[in-house]
This record gives sequence, structure tokens and C-alpha cells, in this order.
Amino acid sequence: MAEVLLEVKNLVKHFGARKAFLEPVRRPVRAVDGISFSVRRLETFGLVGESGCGKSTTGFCIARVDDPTAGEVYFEGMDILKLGATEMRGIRRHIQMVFQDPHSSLDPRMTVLKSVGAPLLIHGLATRRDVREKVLRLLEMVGLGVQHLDRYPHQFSGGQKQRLGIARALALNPELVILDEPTSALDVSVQAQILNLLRRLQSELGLSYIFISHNLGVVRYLSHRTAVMHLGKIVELGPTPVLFARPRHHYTRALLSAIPVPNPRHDGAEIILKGDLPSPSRPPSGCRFHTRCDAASALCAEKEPDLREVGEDHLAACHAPL
Amino acid sequence: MNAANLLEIHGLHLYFDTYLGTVRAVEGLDLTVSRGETVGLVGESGCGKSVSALAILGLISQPPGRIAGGKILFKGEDLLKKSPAELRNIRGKYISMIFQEPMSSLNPVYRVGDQMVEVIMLHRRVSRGEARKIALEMLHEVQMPDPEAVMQKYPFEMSGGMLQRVMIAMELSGKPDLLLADEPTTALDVTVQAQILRLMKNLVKKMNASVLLITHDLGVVAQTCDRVAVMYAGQVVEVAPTEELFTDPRHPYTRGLMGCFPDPNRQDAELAAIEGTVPDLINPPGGCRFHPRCPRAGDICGKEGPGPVAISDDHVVHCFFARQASDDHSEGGTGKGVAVLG
Amino acid sequence: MQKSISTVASAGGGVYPGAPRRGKWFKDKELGYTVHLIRQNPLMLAGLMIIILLVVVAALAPWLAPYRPTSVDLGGRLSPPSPGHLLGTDEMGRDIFSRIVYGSRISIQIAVTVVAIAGVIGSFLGAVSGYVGGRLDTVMMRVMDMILAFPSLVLAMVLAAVLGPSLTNALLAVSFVQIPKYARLVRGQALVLREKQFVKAARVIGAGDLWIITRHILPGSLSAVLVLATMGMAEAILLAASLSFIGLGAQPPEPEWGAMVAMGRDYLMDQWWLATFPGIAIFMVAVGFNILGDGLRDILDPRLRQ
Repeated sequence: MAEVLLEVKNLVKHFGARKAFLEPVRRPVRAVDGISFSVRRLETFGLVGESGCGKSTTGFCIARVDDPTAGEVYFEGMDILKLGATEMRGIRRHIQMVFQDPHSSLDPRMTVLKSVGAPLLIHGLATRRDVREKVLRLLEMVGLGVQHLDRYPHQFSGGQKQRLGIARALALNPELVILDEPTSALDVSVQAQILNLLRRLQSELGLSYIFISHNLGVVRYLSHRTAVMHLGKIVELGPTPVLFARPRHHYTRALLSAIPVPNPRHDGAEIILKGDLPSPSRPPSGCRFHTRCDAASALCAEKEPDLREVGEDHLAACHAPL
Repeated sequence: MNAANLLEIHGLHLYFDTYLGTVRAVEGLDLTVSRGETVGLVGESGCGKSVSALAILGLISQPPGRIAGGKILFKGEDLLKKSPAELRNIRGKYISMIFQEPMSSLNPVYRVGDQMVEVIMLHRRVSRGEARKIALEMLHEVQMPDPEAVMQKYPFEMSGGMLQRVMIAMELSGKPDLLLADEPTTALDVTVQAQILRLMKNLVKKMNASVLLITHDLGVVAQTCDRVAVMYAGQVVEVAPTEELFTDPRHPYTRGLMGCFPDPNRQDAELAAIEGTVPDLINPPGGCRFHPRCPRAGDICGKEGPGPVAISDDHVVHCFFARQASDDHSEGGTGKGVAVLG
Repeated sequence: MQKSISTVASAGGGVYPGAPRRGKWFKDKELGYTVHLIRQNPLMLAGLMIIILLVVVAALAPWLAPYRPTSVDLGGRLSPPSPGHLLGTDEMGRDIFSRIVYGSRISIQIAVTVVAIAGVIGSFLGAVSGYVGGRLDTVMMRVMDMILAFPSLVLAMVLAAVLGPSLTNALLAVSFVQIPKYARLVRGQALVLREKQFVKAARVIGAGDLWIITRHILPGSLSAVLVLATMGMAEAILLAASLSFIGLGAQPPEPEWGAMVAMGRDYLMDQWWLATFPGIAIFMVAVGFNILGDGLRDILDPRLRQ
């Protein structure tokens, strides 16, 4: 088994839990509620789920954009959540992130040179003199060129902006890149360009990815292993081909069957879930999926199922796995 | 006008006059929707699909918008010649529209029920009590659990999927002949999308309404539509029955779009991305608007716009090479059509 | 059908048909487009004209003014407007036109100093408060609330009286009372910008708080601050004139407009020109800055929403 690069243990993130000075107390939103997984070197780890399942928050916590409420995140054996600001700065070089919305992930008032050059300057990897040349090299890596250096974000199309976001993330020569819905704001034809680019960069630069997406087709295409999240929990985790071909959790199965297949002969969703996702601030008792699950029993409403081995390298949190 | 056709759009030209010049958003759109039929209008952002739907309802603000030509025949009458008052009468009663963001289509400070009652009173010209009854009935139709309670809620108390149900209930309450649905499920999660699509499908069948479904998602189209029109840069490039479109796409753009979907059986292959970006519609490319990105463009493509080529009775392609296209199916995966990056 | 309206608007405006065209609009033709917008806003144009006139007059004061602003001519005191003295003379025989011309320099000085001091300090406090948040934010904003709770003129009077009557002290006092406005405005902007992805991205690449505040938050608030600053200039001039009027600001013989009005007050019945002309000058400049600020807001707002 490949070497583990990142290990997440019992990560918890509650929003609004901490009481601010003179502020009213609110019911915390349990965005991420105790998840554990590991990312291996050179692999793409897919994190899928519907809106509000906590997949993006997980990414933000690992990148330490958000501070987790509890848990441990080991990067190369070191718990990065315990690091102080200065030490964290060193780790930042190794863990980078590409954001969902290319339109808002670049400061509209900064030229490409400034946006993409910022990480180099902050970490002293370039001087004012050679930053231009180094940024150019990054742009070329993502399929852009010298003519783009002094332009502003609004002069680019969505796909090009996302290339810029990728260039910025690569500036520090990271080992792990967290891709937070990198193509969901793009048109399909452009999405394909970006996915191809990500794939090529991974093999050329030896990157590991955490690929966060609600688009199962894209996750299936890009990731080696996939974790399915539901209301702040991982419900199933396994090698992508196995998980897609033979899902063991009822939620995974419903999710997979709900994808509209671009083939009119396909029957459409066989399993249509009832109702909407419950609110993450009041998750159901026991298994959080039991309110929408066909196979739910009394046990499911009472006891929360643990993530258990259901096959080789394959985990599912279900009392009655498929 | 064919009597079976509920809606016929002929040569619609829709321009927007901006400071920088005229945006030729829709140029020569032809489209028909017959009774009881669900037609998909597919394309990427900025291809003119949404504004076309707004034009049907007379909802393009003029200026900056300008209808520069064409006819929109609804039941044989040209909607573009109707007065604002006549259009208001048609909207909601004969033609309804559902938008992508249900939250912004509802007023946040009024209860959902009150808004529904208001709309139903307007469209059906019934009393408040009657309208309330219809509202409850419709909420029942869209499988809303506990309609009574839903009526009392404010929009922000409900999820996106629930709100979209409310919108569908509201828009179908007038028993319209035609429903325009602009990306109705794009903002929703897949499990909810599946519910809403099935719901819409069943309801329109029951009411024998026609639907013009505007979407960028070929998967959604494949699952819901009878016929599909593919738009690119303001023009329809291919129209075909859904099944035929997916099994025998003839336009290079249509084939390009399909190639962009990750194929679960070909994990290691590069995706067949379409090179380049959507053109500037102030100065669109001459000839076929797709030719700068087209893998099989010839000299002629830059010079003149391709006319319609009928592949079969209801399969029309705007491409000079439409008749040859079916021979080399694998072609979309090689050549210029694939973005070879770096 | 609220949605439909916004869709149509965006179709005609920036979003359609996608980013490449929007790029053209906002970079290559940015200036042209701004001019286009200003042209469509005659009121703003009028405000701009007034301010340009003010600046030109101040710059060319020695050439425009027929007399020195302080040259006394007791023989010709209190003479009404005439070809020799366009706007008449005051109680010391000084030419009022010349004094108003030179007074424009003081007005600009007041406007620029106050806005610079209050704008810089206020914006920085606001940016830090909004970006860092938490307890610091709460404490800072309550302090700002306290300052705002006093009528600004009263507070400025108190401060000016404590510091001693002089133009400099009046400026400091006015600057101080203006700080909370900028702080609150920029804090609001910071709260919005803080959640933007490019700020999160900056944190991911290892940028510190100071970097983010100076490179993202402050530049991002600039257009809003600009609008407030323009209007703030009008208020600064009015406040400073008020202080001078009650004797806490500019001291005679400085040709400060507020002080001139104060001097002319005693002669208002018979020699109306003493107070009226500087009063008109104050009024014009205040109106000029205000409508210019209004216009700026109209121009900058739709682009802020992009």
C-alpha cells in the first residue's frame, strides 16, 4: 500500500458554536462531525456529497482556512492543527488549494502577475526582479502565456481564471492540492479542459489531490479512492471503481442512481429519495440517513453506525450494508 | 403554421444594444414545440437559450434589448405583436415559466401560501377561497408533505427543492399550455433534482402541457425530453429527437459536448474538450459561428453560414458536413477538437 | 417575476455573453466607459465643474486676485460691489473677491487634510476591525459608536476649544469626529471581502493579516471610501467653516470663508456683501462635493456588483 501523505482523524467543525463577546448564542451547525480518512501519496482522493454535507468545510479545515473545532490532521506525520503561525507557514507550501468559483478567487484589482506571484513573494521564493519570469513559467504550465501576465481577472474567461487559480496553487510547488469543486462553475466543454489539465499536472509534478465535488461523474473520472459524505459524516469510502460499481451504503446507491445519464435509453433514476436533506444543525438521531432510507430499521434511528470494513480497502457506515 | 404545433419560432433575432456595440445574442432561431411535447434547449452559458425563453414571454427589457426580426407564433398568433396587456394575460395563464433560483422568484417577506393565492387569483380569476383550495390541491400534486403547513411558511424557511416544488405548483396552477423551465434543477442537489425532474415529467404529462426545458446538462435532457435543440452562440446548430441526437449526433459541436462527459468506461482517456472559448457576440465569427473551434472546419465554413440540412424528417443540422459526419464516430476524440494542453 | 428582470438586465449588461466581452468593457475601454457614464449624468458633471473651478481658482489665486487678501485699505472700507472691487470690501477695506479667491486655498487645504487624516486612520481601523473580528472588533466599534453618538459639530467644538482656537486645531478636531464614518464603512467592506475566496486563497498561500489588509481589504474598499471622501470634503468644509464662524477655527486676518461670514455677520443689514459672498462660496463648494460624490456612487456601484 502506498505511503500515507495526509491523515485526518476525527475532524470536527461546528459553526457558530463559539460564543463571541456580547453575541447571542446560536445552535451550532455541525458541518463536519467526526470524520477520518487518509490520502496517499500520488493519489486523487475524491470527496463527494450534496450541498451542506461538509465536504468543502473539510477541505477548508485541512488547508486551515477554517479552524477545526476538534480533531487531528497529520501531514507527513506532523499534526498541523497544533502548529503555530510560523510553523504553519512552512507547511502551507506543501498544502495548497484551488477554489470553486474562479470569478471570486482572484482579486479583481490585481494583475495576474501580482495574484500568481504573491505566494512566491510571501515565501521568498522569488525577488521582485525574477518574479515575472517565475510567474510566466507557472502560466505556461497551465496553458497560458506571456500576453496574460499584466491582465486583470475580468479579462479572462471562467476556464482561464481557473487555470490562474491552479497556477497560483502550484507556485509553491506543493505536494497536496485540495481541489474544491474546481469545475462546477464552468461550462462542460471548459470543464473537460480543466480536468485534463489537472490530470496531466498530477502525473508531471507528482501531486496528490483531494478532489471535492458534487459531480459524481467528474469524481469518478479523476479520483482513485472516493469518500461519500452525508451531513458531516463519511458514509462510505472505497476504491472509486468498486464504490461506483457496487455501492454498499444506501445513500451512495441513491446518489449514484440520481445522476442524470446522458443516454436516453437509460431508465433514469431507479431510486428516488423522499424529501430533502435534513438540516445539519439538527441532524436525525442514529444514522443520519435513516429518515430517507428505504432499509431503515428501528436500530438505525437509535444507534449511529460505525464506519466498518465491507470489502478490501472499502468502508461503509451502515447497519445493513447492501 | 402546423396545427399540431403549439409554439413556432421563426427566424428570431434578438439583439442587445450596449455601450460597446450590439450583442447579437440570438440570430435566426427556429424552434417548434408541439402539444404535449417536451423540448430541450441545450447550450453553454451565453448561447442565448435563456433570453430566447424570456423573449417568448415578452420579458426582454427594451432597451437594451431589441427584437430585430422573426416571429413567435403561439397557437398561431404572433406574440411579438401583442400589447403588454395581452401578454400579461397570456403569461401565467397560457405560458408559465420556472427559473433556476426559486428563492429569488419568491418574495421573501410574504408567506408562500399568500403568494400562491395571489398568483392563482390573478390567473384563474377566482375568489380568494377558491384560490386557496387550488393552491392546496397543487401543493398536493407536487407531493409536498403537509401542504397546510407549507402555506404558512416564508420562503427562507424552506429548502431549495421545496421552493422549486412551490414554484412548479404555482406555475402549473393556471393550467398553462406551455411551461418554460429555465435550468429548473441546476441549483438543486442531485437527489432532489431527480425528484423534481420526475415530478415535472409526470405533472406535465397529466396536464398535457408542453415544456421547453432550458438546460446545459445533457444528462437532464436525455432523461426528460422528447426532442432537443442544441444552441451555440445564438444559433440552433442541431435539432433532433432525443434518442437520435444521442445515438447519431451530426453537428461537431453536439459531438464535442458529448465528448466532454467523462465516460465511466474509459477512465484513462483524456476528455475530448472543445478547444477555445465561446465567441464574442458583438463581433461573432463570420460564416458558421462554430468554425473557429470546429475540428472539421473547411474553407467554406468561414465564408458562409450553413443552411439547414435534413438528416431525417425531424433531424436538422446546420453544418456543411452533416451528411458525412456519421461515418467517423471516433473522430471527435482526435484532431483539433481535443484540447491538447501544454 | 423579480428574477426575470435581473436576468434581462444582466443579459444586456455584463454577463452576456461571457467573460471575454466583459473584459473588453472594463479594461480596454474603462476610461471611455466612465466618460460615457459621466456624460449621462449632468448633475454629476455640474458638481465636477464646481470642484474643477475651485481647484483652478486656488491654483491661480495670485493671478486671479486683483489685491492681496490681507492688504488693508481703511479709506475704502465697507464699499459695495463695484468694478474696482467686484464683490465689495470688508470692514478693513480688504477686497472680498480677492479674499474669497485666496480662501479657496484654505478650503482645499481643509478638505484634503481632514479627508486624508480621517480617511486613512478610519479606513485602517475599520479594515483591521472587520478583518480580525471578534473581541477587537466589538470594542473598536463600540468606541466608534460613542464618538458617533455626539453631534459632530458639538464634539468638534469641544475638541477645538480644548486644543485652542486655530485652523490647525480645528482641522484636527474635524478629522477626529470624521474617523468613525470611514471606520464603519470600511469595516462593512472588510466583513464582505473577508469571506471572498480570494482572501481565503491569500491565507492558503501563507499571507499574513497585514498583507491581506493592505493588499486586499483596503484596495477593495477604495471605491466606497472614495465616494464617502468626496462627500466628506463637503462636510469637512462646512464643519471647519462653522468652527471658524464661532471663533474656534481660522483666526483673522486669514481669508477663511467661515471666518469671513462671521465677520460680516455684524454688517449683514446694511453691508450684505460681507457675509453673503463667502456664504455663497461655501454653499457652492459643499453642493459641488456632494453631487460629485452622489454621481461617483452611481458610477461605481454597478461595477462593484460585478
